Amino acid sequence: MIITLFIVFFVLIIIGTPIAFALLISSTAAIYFFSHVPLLIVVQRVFTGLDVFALMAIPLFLFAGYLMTAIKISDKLIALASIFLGRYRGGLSLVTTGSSAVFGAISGSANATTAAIGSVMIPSMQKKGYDQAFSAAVVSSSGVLGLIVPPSITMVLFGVSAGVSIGGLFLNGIVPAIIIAAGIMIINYVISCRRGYGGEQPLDFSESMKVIKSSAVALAMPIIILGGIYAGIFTPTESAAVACAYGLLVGIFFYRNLTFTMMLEISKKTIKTTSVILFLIGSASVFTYVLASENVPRTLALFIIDLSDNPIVIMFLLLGLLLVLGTFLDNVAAVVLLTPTLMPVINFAGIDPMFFGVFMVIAVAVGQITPPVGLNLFIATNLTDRKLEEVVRASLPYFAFYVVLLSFFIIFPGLLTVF
Amino acid sequence: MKRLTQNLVSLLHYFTMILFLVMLFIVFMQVVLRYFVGSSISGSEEAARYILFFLVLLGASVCVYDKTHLSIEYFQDKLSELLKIISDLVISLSIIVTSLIFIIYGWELATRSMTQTTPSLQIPRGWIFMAFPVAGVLMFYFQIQHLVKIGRKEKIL
Repeated sequence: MIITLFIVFFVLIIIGTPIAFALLISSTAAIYFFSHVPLLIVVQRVFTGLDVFALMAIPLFLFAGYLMTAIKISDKLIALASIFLGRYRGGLSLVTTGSSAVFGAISGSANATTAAIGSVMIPSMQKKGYDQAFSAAVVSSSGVLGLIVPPSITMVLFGVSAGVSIGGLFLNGIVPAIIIAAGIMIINYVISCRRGYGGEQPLDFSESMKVIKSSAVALAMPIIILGGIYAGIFTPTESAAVACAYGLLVGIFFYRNLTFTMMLEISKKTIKTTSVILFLIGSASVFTYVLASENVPRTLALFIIDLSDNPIVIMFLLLGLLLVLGTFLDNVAAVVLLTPTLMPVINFAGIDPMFFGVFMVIAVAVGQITPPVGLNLFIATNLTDRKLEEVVRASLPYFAFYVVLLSFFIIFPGLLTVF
Repeated sequence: MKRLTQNLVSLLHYFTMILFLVMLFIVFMQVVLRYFVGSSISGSEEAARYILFFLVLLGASVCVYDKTHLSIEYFQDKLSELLKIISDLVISLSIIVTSLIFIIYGWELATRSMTQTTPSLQIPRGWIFMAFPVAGVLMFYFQIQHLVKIGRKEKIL
């Protein structure tokens, strides 16, 4: 039964079937041919998979993120980052990383971050004589922060699938995000020193104050979200609703550039992305039902424990698995499919699920900058006139940094569970 | 036919948009009321969940129309012409079979649970499950059209 399930699933996936339908068809086939359970279970499982209030956070955070992108928050964050980082060597590359990190606190998507920051920063870096492959590499590897800096869609998905506190995941994402941003900036700085990229002329004091004032409204959003969750004022789902309302207020009354047509466009985009993600969750819930009814997660857990019961060895095995799958699987799909299968392993090995959640979100996010299917690389490359291969080569130091850092987190798991 | 499809799609766009805005309003009001009044309207959470469920199934049907469901295109792009046609047909078939499952079993689930009511809103559960046959019919309709298009392009039909 399980072999049929996997063969049908992988064949369908490889020929390009939408993942959600591949999940539904392979599980239906497994249930129909190998069990006496009526097929009614298929629709029942899709419903129970979706009937979860915490999932409401996904459309709400998407809406808030699209809203902030539409009202050009990215420009303000770039101006803000320029005040603090622009003057150092390789200033523009540091600004890219800094503004991506802050933009990630508003949007929960790596691709949106890459597109928003890259479309401004890549042309201005070109004007200042930066190598385009290098700037594309900086933009795409900084864009990964969009998925790691809370709020993050993949963290919501992990929290729902694994039954781990979403608020906790958000808060614990802060420390690794800061470490990653700092690490990327150090690499930018070293490369820039070697290639002789200079800094920018600093703004004078009154100019700086003006920029800080106009971006403060945007910066307040992540503070409201994370502060509200930390103080226990609202749940992550509620904080998402508050973020939407705040974004609307800022767009209509403060920046005054949000039109009705834009609103319609944003809701249309939100509905599309939400349907894709949540339909996948519903379908995955049928798939995991079949896996669970055949005891697959348990068998897998026992098999891995048999290889080694040392949590560090297990984590390195899982890191390898996540990095490999991340190269061709979208991070949403990776989290939805792997979490229910891997959780028994995590529990058996006595690994903290909170730690694993933050770790997994980072590990699959790295897939955004690895070929063949690293969407961040594609987006950034399209903004330059260079070839993908050149950008991939320029991204290698950043990829290596992510892998080394993830290994470091395995050895010092406390860094991912500070809160 | 083309006209009908386009009207249907824009109707679905507007309908899901209304659902989304209502849902946004409900969740936001829930926070406001809980924070300032201390209690929220009973059944509001349930309503938001069911609206989201409808929205997802209808939205997923539109995604069948414009082919925006997540898939891995990397390997398919490397296939030969003939294999590409075959894979397109297999993909269409799996979407059509899924839509039939939604129609047949979704309808069964809905009609069976018409007598049960939801915990706080007290509406028949069957009405909520009706999203399955509706989405099934829509997915079926959209995918058949893609199939006809493939057939015309390859001069099979």
